[in-house]
Amino acid sequence: MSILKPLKAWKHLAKKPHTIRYPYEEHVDMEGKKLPVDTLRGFHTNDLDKCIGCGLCGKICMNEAITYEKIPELKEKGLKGINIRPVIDYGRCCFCGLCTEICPTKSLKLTPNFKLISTDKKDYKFMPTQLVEKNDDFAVDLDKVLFSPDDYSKKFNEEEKDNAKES
Amino acid sequence: MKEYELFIGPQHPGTTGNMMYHIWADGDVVKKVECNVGYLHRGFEKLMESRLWMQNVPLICRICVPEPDVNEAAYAMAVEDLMEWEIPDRARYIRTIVLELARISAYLMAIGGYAGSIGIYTLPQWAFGDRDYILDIFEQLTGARVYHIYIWPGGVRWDMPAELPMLMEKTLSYIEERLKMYDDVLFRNRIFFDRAVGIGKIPHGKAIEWGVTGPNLRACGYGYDVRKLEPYAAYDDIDFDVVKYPNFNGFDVPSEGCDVYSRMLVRRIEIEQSINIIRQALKKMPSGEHILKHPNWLRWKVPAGYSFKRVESSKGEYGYFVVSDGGLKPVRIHVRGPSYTHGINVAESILKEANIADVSQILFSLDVCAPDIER
Ligand code: SF4
Ligand code: SF4
Repeated sequence: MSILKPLKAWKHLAKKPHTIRYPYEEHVDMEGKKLPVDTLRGFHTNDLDKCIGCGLCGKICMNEAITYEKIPELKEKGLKGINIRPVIDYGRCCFCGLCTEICPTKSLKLTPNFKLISTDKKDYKFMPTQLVEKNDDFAVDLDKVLFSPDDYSKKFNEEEKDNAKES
Repeated sequence: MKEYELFIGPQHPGTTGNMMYHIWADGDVVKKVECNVGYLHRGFEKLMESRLWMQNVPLICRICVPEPDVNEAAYAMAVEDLMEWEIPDRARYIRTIVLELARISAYLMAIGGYAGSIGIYTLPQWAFGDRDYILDIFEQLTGARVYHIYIWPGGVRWDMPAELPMLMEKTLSYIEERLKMYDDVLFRNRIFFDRAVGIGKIPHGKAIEWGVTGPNLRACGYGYDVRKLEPYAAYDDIDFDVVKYPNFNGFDVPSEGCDVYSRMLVRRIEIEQSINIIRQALKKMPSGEHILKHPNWLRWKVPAGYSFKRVESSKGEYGYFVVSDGGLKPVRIHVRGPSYTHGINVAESILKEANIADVSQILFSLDVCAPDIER
């Protein structure tokens, strides 16, 4: 027991902090590997030509996040199967991956991509395609969503004023 | 002074989760306590009755936030029992590793939270930061940081990546190193000593009667650990001793046990024990299959019967009672959460005559988790 030992914590003043300035700084693990890894369960990708529209993914999804939409162009290409493809509502999806495990053609997969920022809730429901695999698809204009603290308080004050006017 | 009422919770940093303690106090001394829950009821048990056996797997982990894996393990074990499945050896070892990693991360959260409750705010920052390194391992192993959905009936979802043991070893040594700092700041700190010894005592002989389990019971001197008594996963192949009062190797044992001090020390020492278990499991892990073949999920019928399976979680004994009528969905699933006894009955009893300033440290030392009281 000691009253002086806790003071050793001061030596952390000279150390690098745990926290990183995400997303400006990269998130790496202890061995310096970049995260997220490829196995992270994020948004889906679906190979529309491989998918046969069997509807199993919608049946196993317990959140009822999957609905189907008709794609007439697929029929013209002389495709086997049914011309419906899954549309996923990310307001409901919990990224469990049961749909990808049950998919008989393995066309539906999860990607490590998890960034989606939007103020419109309609944006959270869309048909996953191969394109989603590329991170750029979701590349968000960071400056638009991340305000500097000063801008933030300015914006907040303006909104407050508007609210006050309305009420 | 006149008696007055005080509400701790449902949004209060001194309670662990959304629950409320309604306190009647006389001056500084608590006279009566009533635990008030109902802010977090999500109806998991009922929901599970309307879902297929496999559809329940992503749901159950959400019952407990700090340590979701125990839910998956207990449910998987119960389903395997009904199916009469024997899981592959490799899966048993991977499960042990996952459960112990989850235990460390839950203890780090508990210790950090506790330190915050006695005003040592350095430790919560450290503990939560260090916990994130364990979540990094989980991310690479299971594909998710918090809700892993990794332990499935029949084994584990994926095999362990070949390079992961190296990262685990590195992280474990780092945490071992950090524990020394934790000792300096909390466990060998005079402030902790003075505030925790003899506070929040579970009366002698009452612990068993009240249904106390886990580290809280071991702090009363009982060597009760489900991992030893009813070994699941690979615990029967692993060599470890149950940590109990007063065997606190290297730490002072000033009290008669059953108090906040011993409860926190049991947790502290069990982190080292978990690290030891993971190292052994990594060394002994056989190769081979990691999961049994599942039937078609949409037509998976589990034979009629019932099964109760329990695991040792960081909070106490965690059990799943699963009833099947041979159909596509379970008939009834009941969850036995350890916090139910600790948070309601035990807390109401031992908070009496405590100081108001000690209320939150007693609650944190019991490691009450509101989500697993209500499910
Ligand atoms: S994604 Fe897979 S499961 Fe879903 S409809 Fe297409 S083929 Fe079937
Ligand atoms: S990941 Fe899970 S919740 Fe999301 S769509 Fe697939 S099955 Fe449904």
